[in-house]
Amino acid sequence: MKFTANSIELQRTLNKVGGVVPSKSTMPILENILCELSNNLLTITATDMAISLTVSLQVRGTEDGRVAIPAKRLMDTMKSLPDTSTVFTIDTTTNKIKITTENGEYGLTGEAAGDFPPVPPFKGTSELTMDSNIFRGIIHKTAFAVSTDELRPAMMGVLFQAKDTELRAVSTDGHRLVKLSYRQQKPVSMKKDVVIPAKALLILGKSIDEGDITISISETHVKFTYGPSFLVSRLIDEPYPNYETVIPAENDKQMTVKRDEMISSIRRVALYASATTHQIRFDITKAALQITAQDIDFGGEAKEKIPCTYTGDTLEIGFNSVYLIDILSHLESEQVMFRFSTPTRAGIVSPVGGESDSILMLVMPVRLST
Amino acid sequence: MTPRRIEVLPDHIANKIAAGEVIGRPASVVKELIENSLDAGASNVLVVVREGGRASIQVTDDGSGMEEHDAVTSFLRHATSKISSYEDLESITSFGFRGEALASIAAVARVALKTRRAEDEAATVVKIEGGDVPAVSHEGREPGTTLTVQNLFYNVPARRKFLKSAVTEFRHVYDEVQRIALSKPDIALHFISDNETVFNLKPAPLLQRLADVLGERKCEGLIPVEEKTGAVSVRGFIGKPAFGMRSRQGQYIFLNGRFIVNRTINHAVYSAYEHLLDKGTFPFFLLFLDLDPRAVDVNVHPSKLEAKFDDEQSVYRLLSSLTRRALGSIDAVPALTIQEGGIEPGTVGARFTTRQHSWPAGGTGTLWSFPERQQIDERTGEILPFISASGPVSGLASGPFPGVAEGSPLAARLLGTPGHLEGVGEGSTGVPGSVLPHGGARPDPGASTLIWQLHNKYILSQIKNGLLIVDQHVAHERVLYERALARFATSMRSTQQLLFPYTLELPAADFALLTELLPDFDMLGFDIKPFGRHTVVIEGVPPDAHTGSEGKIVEEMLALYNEYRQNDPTHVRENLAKSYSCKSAIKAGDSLNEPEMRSLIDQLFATSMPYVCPHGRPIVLRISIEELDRRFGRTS
Repeated sequence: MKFTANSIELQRTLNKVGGVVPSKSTMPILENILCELSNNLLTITATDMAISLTVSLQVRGTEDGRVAIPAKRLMDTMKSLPDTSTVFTIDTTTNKIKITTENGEYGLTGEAAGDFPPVPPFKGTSELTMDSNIFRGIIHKTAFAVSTDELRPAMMGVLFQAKDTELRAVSTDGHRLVKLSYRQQKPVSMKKDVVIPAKALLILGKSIDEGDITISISETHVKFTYGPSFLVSRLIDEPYPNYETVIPAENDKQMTVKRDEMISSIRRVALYASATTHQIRFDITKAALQITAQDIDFGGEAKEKIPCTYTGDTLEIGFNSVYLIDILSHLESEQVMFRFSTPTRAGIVSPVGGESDSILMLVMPVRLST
Repeated sequence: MTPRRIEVLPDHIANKIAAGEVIGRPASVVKELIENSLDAGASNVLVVVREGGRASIQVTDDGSGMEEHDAVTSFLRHATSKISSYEDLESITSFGFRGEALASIAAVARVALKTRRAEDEAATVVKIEGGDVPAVSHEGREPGTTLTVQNLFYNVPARRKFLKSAVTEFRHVYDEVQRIALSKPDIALHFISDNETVFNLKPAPLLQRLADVLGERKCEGLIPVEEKTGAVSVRGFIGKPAFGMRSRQGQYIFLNGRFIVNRTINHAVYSAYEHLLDKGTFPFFLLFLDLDPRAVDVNVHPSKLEAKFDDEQSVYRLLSSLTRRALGSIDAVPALTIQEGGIEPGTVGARFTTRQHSWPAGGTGTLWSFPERQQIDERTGEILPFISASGPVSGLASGPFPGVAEGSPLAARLLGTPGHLEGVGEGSTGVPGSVLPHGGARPDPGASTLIWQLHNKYILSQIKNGLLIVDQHVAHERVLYERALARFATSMRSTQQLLFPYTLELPAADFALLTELLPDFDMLGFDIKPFGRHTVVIEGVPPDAHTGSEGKIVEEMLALYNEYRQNDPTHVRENLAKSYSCKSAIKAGDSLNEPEMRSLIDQLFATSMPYVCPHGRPIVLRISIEELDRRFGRTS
């Protein structure tokens, strides 16, 4: 097996799959990436057994072949090379890999390609195609809010639901929730609700290019196909919590603020909040939102006031500032609207203007002691 | 036989009976007499005893002295100059006040009183034998008072029989004199027994007096404490845990200068040591408690050894927190000493055992074994440096998506930050800890940061003079425990409301218990509402509770609380805080990243007692660089 590739192009390609390579695994083979050369096309696959990602790159091929190469050392090598051409010469019987560049020669030992776990066979049923950029946007706005808690596996993924022409993506960690609706012309062809692991989506978000992305779903897996690359991930086979019932309908206290202004204000004030609770407090009056923080343990307090328009009685409500910053920084509009009911009920955050009904975020308050 | 008529006892019999209450043994005579001297404003006191006070006791002072009338009256029962009205009794500042001591002593011994006021020409001498009529004469002497007591209990054979040997009685006398010496460092005290000076103390600052009386070495192990609150002020010393005593002997509490025995205070101090002390040892402490005499009643028993506080709770809290703080201020990390020749033949892994007696200053202690085998590189036989990754532990078994949750839920609990997944790409590309399959111990990339996790269980860190080992679970437990107690103490608490309330059905007994504890759960930061029969809804949890397991935490807390309650039914909140911290803390086996470990260590050392977990297990262990040097044969 022999081919010549540009170091920068190869590095860029490797970066896409790098996120899949597990850092520690019971199966050492998974710390390798599978490289397969067929004519001038180099196909690279990485897997952690739950997610596999296959990408490809045009190279100058001399001799076809397959081999598993230690991922970290290969990536580190490419990263530290200048923009140059690299020649890979691989003895597929001994799995010795030789990389030759104008700087010198590097040898490493790989594993037999046959030892690398194959990508699970995939029998897709329903298919949905959309623009990559839109899908990347959906990932960006939802995946941040998932739970990292393995005790609630369903919440570690993003729920995708088809409602006629609407594709709905929902994520929550039990303290906040994002509901995003994407409407298209024709009905969404997805026969069942699926929960896709956030890790797969985040890896996907980093590696999708321009063009369309096709999503196919089988009983147990989801497959994303985009250009020559594809990602296959296991689905989370757990019932998703009934999110619709927790979205309050009666929140009538509306507060509109400038998003940027609020983010910077919260960031500053939160520096003075307790490092363990990150708790800040809103005192909302007709024209102004006062944001305060107090660190009891180590001392320190901060207070800021920003203008707002608010309909409702004066309200005091506490939040974890990290959740708020997360939520606000994943919105794009100039202004956002908060809708509250009581200091212990969920607050609703949505962008003002644009398609205001297409994204809705919920954040649970922190009950303040009195 | 005709029944006897009821009659009032004659004085001399009544006095003998009453004397038994005040005067139990020579030591009580010594105590009463020295206290009288101190009440008389003496600055020099000489105590002379023979045969442990059985033969004679003589106390001489340079106090104010008495004129003739007072000298005679002083032997009458309930005759005192120290109080004159009932109101005075409410605010006693002198040692004596009951007016019983002299009368009692005179009833059971031969007593001679020789006293002179500075302004009088001559001293009055009063001699009384067994409560008879006093004989008065005059003699010359310096201003002051001498009281001589001879043949104690000569007229009460029953009592005399119960006196112990001279040696034993001397020890009791010695204890009394010593207590007074400790409580009044500004008084010169000369103590002679059978013509030998036991001690001759000059007025000195307290610490010097302690050194004079207890010995220099004991004083090295003392931590000074001082605290003033509105009503109470405390000062004194507590002993470092290493100086634990085998008995409760070294426990001195002086309430407004008076030595008292008070179980509440003892318990407050003792329990603050938690498990710093080995089983069967007791802390040394010497505390001066000053509070408004009206807020305390010392007139509980004629011996005045007991006292009743109006507000015992606040005294308890004050002493407990004072001790805790003082102990927290010292370096109480047990140092690990490696047993010489610790390598067992035939095994590759070196076994660490603590030979030593744990607390840094030496002393006695339990033996802790250190069962973890070190990882040995199979090929080279090298002992691998601290490997942060656990290698073949995590992975597929732990969940559908390994890498993704690495540390993140813990981050949420340790740092209060919701987990972020953004870093997934960079984070998992590295292959640290994968040294085994590739052979050759690569230095851990995190080595420069000097903090490592061992087997997802212990945190290792370089410290100035060696290696610090922290058990992550108990460390976090301690942090949460104190945070929970703080929530009980103040009303400052917060509750993270849940988007998806958790419905929990409980067995009837647990439900009843939870209902009873609801206010306390509330203070911890839970938001739990009863919801029909045997069912509750958890609507909110403390911000540091493990998300996703809200129901489990409550259930397990109840179970654990039940267990603790059996051992210690009184401390409801401590028990609850303990069970909360135990159940919410990170576990052994949870992998932590560097910021999480740092944050945990920072929080741990911000607690009042970072060395022992609420259950008494050690949190921190230290191996000194000298120990390691010796181990590697570096020391000559």
